Amino acid sequence: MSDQPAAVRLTAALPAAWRDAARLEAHAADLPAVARFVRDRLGYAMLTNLTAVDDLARGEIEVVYHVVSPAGGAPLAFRARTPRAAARLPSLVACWPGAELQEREAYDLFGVTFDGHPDLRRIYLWDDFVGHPMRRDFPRQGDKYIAGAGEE
Amino acid sequence: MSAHESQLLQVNIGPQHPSTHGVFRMEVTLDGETVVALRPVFGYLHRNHEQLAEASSYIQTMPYTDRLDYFNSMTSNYGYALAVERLAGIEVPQRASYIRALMSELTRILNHATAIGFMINDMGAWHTALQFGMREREKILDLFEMASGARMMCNYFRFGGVVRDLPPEFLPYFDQLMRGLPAFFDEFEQLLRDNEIIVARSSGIGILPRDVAAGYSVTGPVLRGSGVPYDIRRAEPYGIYGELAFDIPVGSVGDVYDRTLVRFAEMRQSYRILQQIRERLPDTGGGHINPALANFGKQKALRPPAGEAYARVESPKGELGFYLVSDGSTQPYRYKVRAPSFINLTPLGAMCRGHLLADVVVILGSIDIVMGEVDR
Repeated sequence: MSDQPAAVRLTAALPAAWRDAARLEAHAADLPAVARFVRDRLGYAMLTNLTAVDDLARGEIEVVYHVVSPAGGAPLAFRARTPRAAARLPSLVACWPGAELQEREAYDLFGVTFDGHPDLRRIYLWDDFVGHPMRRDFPRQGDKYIAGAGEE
Repeated sequence: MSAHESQLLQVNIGPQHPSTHGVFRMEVTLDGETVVALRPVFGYLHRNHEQLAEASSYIQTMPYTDRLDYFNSMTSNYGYALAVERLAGIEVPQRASYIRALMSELTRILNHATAIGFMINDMGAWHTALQFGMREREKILDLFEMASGARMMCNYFRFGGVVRDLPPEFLPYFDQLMRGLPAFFDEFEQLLRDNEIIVARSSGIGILPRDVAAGYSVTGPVLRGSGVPYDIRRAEPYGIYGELAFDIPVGSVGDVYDRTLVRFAEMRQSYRILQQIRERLPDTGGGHINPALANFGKQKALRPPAGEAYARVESPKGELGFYLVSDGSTQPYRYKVRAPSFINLTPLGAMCRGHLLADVVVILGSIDIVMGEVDR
């Protein structure tokens, strides 16, 4: 699925940045350097998709970035992981302004804090909502916001 | 000259406002009538679509994708079917791919015809222009109803094809529609393209310069209006799009007028594609669905192998992507919708800054959003 020659160039150019080079999984601290290389040297000017996956079994949240080149071709996917208990990653808004709303969405639904985001607030849920509903252990039934939930 | 004390004013546009295209709110800070800052506020239609999909089997989500972009259920179906097919390694027969592309291009025409009409509504030409677009849309919805049984919530796609082949009355009605479309394009453009209201209200308004457009991740007519010839049907062809001849219209300035011109031109390109599909459709082989999945029980029992897939289609509003992670069970471990209307709103504040309050609704109209997809 991913762009193979670009992945090879990326891992060769930044050999120390990877926690798992085969999956293009970067160390959290190296994420901005990876992003700049991907944008400036490999030509991926668009961050088309940013999303999180809750890996409950390993106690981590993975944030996946799909980037594309305006010249065409398949997207390149790279990722970074962060512990569920204190989920933090560097923001990529400075590199791709298109990350702004997408990082807010991952913050709201998964509880990942993006350091350096200019305006990190909840986006869909209201400000005093408690919890992050896309986490796999968020109760799917009986939460206090559902009318009549406490009545049975 | 007298010096007047001026003070910034906060105005809420929406959530209940006819020009926010649904329940959407913009917090606008004004200096007189000039926009100083604009913050979009989301979430009024949020229903955690993604979590519902993660608690459902793969095929149960298909009708639910209709409700994302409820104007264009066919392309929403297409994006989701493509992602599951990529995840599970499902082949699609040739005829099914042709039918899918036919439905996608009809969708593009109906979307653009009404998107232009709705934007002109926002300019104050109340509903007259829109009726021209709505008239053609009705005919296309009749075709959707013949094929799928429903006009808007089509639920027509299945993994490996479409739910049923085109009925016998479909092609004669389709041919009749095609005979009328060029006259519709001419009339619609003649009425609107050089119309004084539209030119005055849209040229130089809401400019998104070419060099920053890609960085904002905008796609579809918004990106192409800024002069970037990026179209997923060409950039990463899916289905039969690699075999079809069509041009990618682009704008030069990146203002509201350019985005409108791109939509006019794209309708004609979709017509060109439909002509090619119509010509080749009788000779296509393979049936409307992969025989291994023709039984609905097989669709319900689908268990893609563990892994991940990202697939995207060029929906009329831009790049519609679906990201799926499978753990080998009948339900997706992660299901994510990359909604074009949502991400196209990223530069809204930057595009509105310095313009008049009355231009805000026009700029929003030119992005062409649908809240079912923005809030999910």
